[in-house]
Amino acid sequence: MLDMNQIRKNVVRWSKQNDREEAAAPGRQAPSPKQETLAAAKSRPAASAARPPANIGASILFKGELSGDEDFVIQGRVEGKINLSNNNLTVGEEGRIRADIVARVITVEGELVGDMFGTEKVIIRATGRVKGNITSPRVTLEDGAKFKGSIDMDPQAVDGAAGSEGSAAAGESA
Amino acid sequence: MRSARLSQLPAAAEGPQALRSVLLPALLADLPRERRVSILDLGPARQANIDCFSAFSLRYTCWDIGEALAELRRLVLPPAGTRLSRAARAAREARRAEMEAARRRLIDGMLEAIPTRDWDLVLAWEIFNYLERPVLSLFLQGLVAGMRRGGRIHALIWGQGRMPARMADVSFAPGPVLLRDAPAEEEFVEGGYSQYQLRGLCEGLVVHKGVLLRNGLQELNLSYGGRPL
Repeated sequence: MLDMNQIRKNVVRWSKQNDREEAAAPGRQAPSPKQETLAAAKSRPAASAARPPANIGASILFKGELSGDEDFVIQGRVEGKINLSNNNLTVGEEGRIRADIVARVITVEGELVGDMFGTEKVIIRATGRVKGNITSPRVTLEDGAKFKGSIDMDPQAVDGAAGSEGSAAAGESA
Repeated sequence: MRSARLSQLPAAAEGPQALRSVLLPALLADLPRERRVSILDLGPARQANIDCFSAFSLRYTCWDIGEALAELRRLVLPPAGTRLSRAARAAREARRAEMEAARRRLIDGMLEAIPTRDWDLVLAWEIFNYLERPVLSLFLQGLVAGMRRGGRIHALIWGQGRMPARMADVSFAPGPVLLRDAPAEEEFVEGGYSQYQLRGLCEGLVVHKGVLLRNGLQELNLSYGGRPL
């Protein structure tokens, strides 16, 4: 199980270190897509907007169950299960996920193999490539996005799936 | 069989050609209300399709088989020479058997990978044309095995001896309209099926209704099994 406080501390430490390095570097470059993704997630109004979303960097490989009570941006690789039932998850362009996901709003800009339960919405951006099933009341697929799987937007199916996934995850994490 | 003429709306200077669909609204209206239905779309996932079908209580599966079709089309036996030696003929027969097995494996793998079953409606837009008759027969047999008895296939096929060299993207929009996204200078080659040529390809599958377009594209409603949906 991932310790969210530890992740947050690591992210803050990593960000400060990066800031110091960037301040020291002459001729700062334009922000990368990864930084833009993070910035977009940061600017999104949400219950947990007071703090920046936690981030799994591009070089990180995480295997296991990831859960927590804050928004998350993944640029690295995650294999297992992700449960952020009250929060938003963004799979960045560099993100490579092999996991089932439960989250409020799920945005995929990278690669995902697994089922998604978006209690509010699932968005697959133009750069997104998804193989798996979606259960969510709203689904947005941008032009160019690749998706193979089934979509279930029936409210009862969404409630049932999100409820059972969420409680299963809660039971396992208890 | 009832056959009617489909009106072709003027295409925009740029963008997809809009064709008014006659059969699809009736097919959707016929879907059962007492249970959740399952629709399989064999084309690329499109927001327009998701928006249309999300109005119904159903499970909508997008399973683009474009890549698998391209692979199937590569499994083509070289044309027989007029004067083949006995050894060459034997080699060709062995290759034919090998290729048929490879095709069957590919089709089975492609259909088994689809995460849902018991489809009430399958959308196969411009797909059949890109499969040779024996391969299409294998494909349809595999497809109906995953369909609910009484299920339907909504197909768009090119007949009259000519078809586009490349498959176009088709999506469904309110109207009801089928939007066919193809290059402005579309290249046509010999080929295509008439609805009558589809007979006998798959036991239990019949062309229930067909509508002809002026440009040679046909909108078909095929039903599998005798019972209605």
